[in-house]
Amino acid sequence: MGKLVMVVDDSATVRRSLQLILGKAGYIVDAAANAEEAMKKLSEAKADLVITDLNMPGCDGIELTRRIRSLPSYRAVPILLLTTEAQVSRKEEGRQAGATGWITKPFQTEQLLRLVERLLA
Amino acid sequence: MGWFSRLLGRGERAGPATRAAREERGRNAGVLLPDPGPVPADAADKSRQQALVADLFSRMAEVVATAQTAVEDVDREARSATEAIFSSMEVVLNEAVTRMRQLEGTLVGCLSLESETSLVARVLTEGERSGRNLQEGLAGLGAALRRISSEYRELVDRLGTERLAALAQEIQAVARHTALLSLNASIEAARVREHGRGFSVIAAEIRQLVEKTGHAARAVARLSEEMRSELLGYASALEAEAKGADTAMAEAERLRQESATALLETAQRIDALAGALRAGLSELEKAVNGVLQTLQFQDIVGQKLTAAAGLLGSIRAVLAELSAADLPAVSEEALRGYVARVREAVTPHSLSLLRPQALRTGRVGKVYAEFGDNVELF
Repeated sequence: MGKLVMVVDDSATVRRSLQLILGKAGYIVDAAANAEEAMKKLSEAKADLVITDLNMPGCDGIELTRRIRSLPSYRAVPILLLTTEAQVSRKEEGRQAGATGWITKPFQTEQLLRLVERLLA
Repeated sequence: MGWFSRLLGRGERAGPATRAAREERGRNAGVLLPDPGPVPADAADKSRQQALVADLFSRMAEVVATAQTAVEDVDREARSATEAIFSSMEVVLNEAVTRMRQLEGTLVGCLSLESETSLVARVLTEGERSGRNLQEGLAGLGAALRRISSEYRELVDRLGTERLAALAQEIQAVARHTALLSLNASIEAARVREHGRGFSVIAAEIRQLVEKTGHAARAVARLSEEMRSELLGYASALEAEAKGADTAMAEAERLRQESATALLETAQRIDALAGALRAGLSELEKAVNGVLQTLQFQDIVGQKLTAAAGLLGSIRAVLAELSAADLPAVSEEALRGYVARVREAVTPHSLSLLRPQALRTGRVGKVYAEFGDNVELF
């Protein structure tokens, strides 16, 4: 059975793109448009990896990372922040919140797949 | 110095501590708030100046409102276009993915065929080995048959059926000679009458013996001839079998070569087809990845437009309020609040969204060369 990847992004384009890329690579992909939806889905089914956008209405990706890390079953699950931002201060915030990595858009499909493969190894 | 001048940052006493913060504030103030010119000397001039400033704010608010509307329109259009593009692309991509899967299926089939080709190659190898074994066997059989045939001929010679025939003739000659002697003995016995009676009996016995010897000699001759004939016939049959083995061997070799050629041609065609499919699949994947990356750029543009519209909206609201206000009556504290609102709108976050992608620098985590410089792992 393939590994479950949760994609969190308020952009439908990004969600669908990631679903297409990761789905074709054999991963099971679920998606959420905001932090609340993501938390609900993550508590229902244990994801093996979370990829979240940084800038979302309401709860942003860094706060979502904190919330996910507060769940006992998600302390060791890799969380990847996928964003157009690359400020050092924001990255540091992400790191302190418990994110595993940071990938700045635009990314190459192959690049993302290699990274996901590494994080799920 | 009045509140208005201080508001604009000229002669402001309570400035920030760091140079960077001063530059940041100055940059924001310079961009967002216009220089109203020299401070008026008298009350009438001051009143005109304030009216001009109010008018200026009003016009700026209109310009910003226009810009905001334009940006929002572009944002909306861009998002709509992105959605439309994505929907179209999704159809294309779904089709592409379907085709890719079909191709993959075909490719898997071909790869399976390739495996089968390998199997065929193995079978071919085994078949060739078996064929060669058969050929060798047939060749061995032919050689053996020829050798046996030759040995039979030698056996015929060694058994000396011709010598047996000669011996039989010799026996017959001896028999004839003995018969002649017997006849002479009978004549002599009759001539001596009573005294030769015993001799006459012996002569009769000899004559009978001669006849039997003659019969035996003829029987030996016939047997010899029959034996020779049989052996030669057997040798001929063996030679015929050897020729049959040669023919079978030649046919086996021809069939082996024909099947090998046909199988190798099929394997080559399958290999070429698999190669073409792989190349097609690779090109299709490149195209799909290109489309996906283009969509990311669309998303980035959308985020920038949203940030710009938000920024303009904040400034517009402040300017609109200022233009509508009776400026001399507005307290300095209230005006500072307006400025604070404008500055809050121009956050590093909103600015970072508006910056070109090339400005993305600074690292926190370790960059793994294998993933590219836009990836950091903490």
